[in-house]
Amino acid sequence: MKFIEEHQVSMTESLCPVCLRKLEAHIVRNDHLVSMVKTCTEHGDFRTILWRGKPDYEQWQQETVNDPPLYAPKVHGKGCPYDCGICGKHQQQACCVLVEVTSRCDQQCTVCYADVAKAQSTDPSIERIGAIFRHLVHISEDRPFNIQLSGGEPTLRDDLPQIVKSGKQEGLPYIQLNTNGQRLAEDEAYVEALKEAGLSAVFLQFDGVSDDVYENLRGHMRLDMKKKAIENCRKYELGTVLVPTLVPGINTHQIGEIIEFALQYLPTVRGVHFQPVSYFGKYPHMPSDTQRITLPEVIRQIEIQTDGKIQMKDLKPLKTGCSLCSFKGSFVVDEGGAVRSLSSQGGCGCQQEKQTSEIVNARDFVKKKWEMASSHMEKEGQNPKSDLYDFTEWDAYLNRIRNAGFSITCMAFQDVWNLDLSRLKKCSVAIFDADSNELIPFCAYNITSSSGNALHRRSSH
Amino acid sequence: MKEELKNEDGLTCVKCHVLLEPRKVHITYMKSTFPAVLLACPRCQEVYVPEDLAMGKMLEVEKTLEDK
Repeated sequence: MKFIEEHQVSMTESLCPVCLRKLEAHIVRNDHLVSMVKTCTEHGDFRTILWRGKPDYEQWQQETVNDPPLYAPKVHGKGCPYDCGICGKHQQQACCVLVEVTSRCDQQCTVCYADVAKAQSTDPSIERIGAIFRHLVHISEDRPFNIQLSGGEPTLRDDLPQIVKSGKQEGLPYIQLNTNGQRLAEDEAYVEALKEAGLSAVFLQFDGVSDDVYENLRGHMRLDMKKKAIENCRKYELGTVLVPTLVPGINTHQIGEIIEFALQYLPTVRGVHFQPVSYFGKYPHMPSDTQRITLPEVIRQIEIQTDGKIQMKDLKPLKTGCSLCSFKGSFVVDEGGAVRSLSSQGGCGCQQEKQTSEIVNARDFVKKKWEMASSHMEKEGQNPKSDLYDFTEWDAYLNRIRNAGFSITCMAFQDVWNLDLSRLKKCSVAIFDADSNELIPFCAYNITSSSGNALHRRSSH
Repeated sequence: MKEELKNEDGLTCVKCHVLLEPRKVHITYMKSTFPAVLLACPRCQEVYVPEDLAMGKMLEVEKTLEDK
């Protein structure tokens, strides 16, 4: 009989899922399972799975390079995570900032993090959003943040193209739209207007390749609607990222098929960005471990379900933020249809003088990977003496990457059950809180107690 | 029609002290190979990569391959 003793890997801090009081938390390993264990003297013991199997939890973690925010106006009061906006204890600047342009939504999702108002509510004016953009450019360091227009469902606003245009005019280099895609499918003129306004990419909710997945998670959305949205994006050269929320028992068996689907729509589809389900909102009972898929399981399932076309070794932790939160991989499909990794070879090894911070690199990585190169883009020939060199094969290679390159990325959000404050302090995704004019780390903003009380999100206060 | 590459500046190899000559070379970078005609030393085979190429097309390929 095999008996493996549980042992502690590390200690951190978390919250009580019932009263949101700060607790000591133990990260413990039992064979290949890594869990968080914490005890509230009033509400009892809580145990949540964090990591299952290979790649190994300890080996996966690497030292990341973080750039503490210079703009951290909050004075310490109760400490992390109660003091967010970004405070002086936060270790990382934002890569992407979410700006919620409406709280209205046309879906009734079972897994939404946003506290969508059921009743009609007032959207912020375009002038107010313009002021937010100005403020964000002002407080960005080095290079303006990437922006995600979020909600609610942003496409319920008819003036969304004007909002995008105002952001571009304020100097934001990258603006992506988080959407369920319904309006993009039904209103081609709207897609065209968004493109003309300067929208960089569409972050398309895309949970699977069969209708039952959407019926389960979203109520009504159909796959053909998603396809139509992507086709309209293709028509107007809007790069699209497929964003599946992975829920065990619902769509985790479709990971490979989602990737195969993405490959059929290159180069419009720029990549797949997986999001393992998190549990926000009312959960009177702790979600069971079987209701969670952990980051290494996503990595393994990608290899298994693509029959090794995408390999585990080609999916790597990010160099910035916290390595437990995400992974990325860059690939190209070659002429013969084989998928080749662009990111596993470790570079040329030359020592390059550091010119930009890792967070700026991360912002640029997103822009480069998810924006679609225009077919009208000026072709190569930036070299003053280019007429002396024959670049035919070089250009063919670069075009191959533009037209057949894609990324596979993943971000594991935290909820009240598995929240690790040491991870939270390195969070590089922030929400702009319109009430306080503060940037609040994404996971902190959306944390809710088991009865649905929010730590930060205003409508639940 | 590409103009033929010539050693118009009279560049010489610092090691062998002979004039560089145009030559077809294969530049391998992270398992990808790119052909090019560049000036090279006919004796020691050292290849001269001009700055405009290094900072132009070559850098573009590097950035694409390496997520630089």
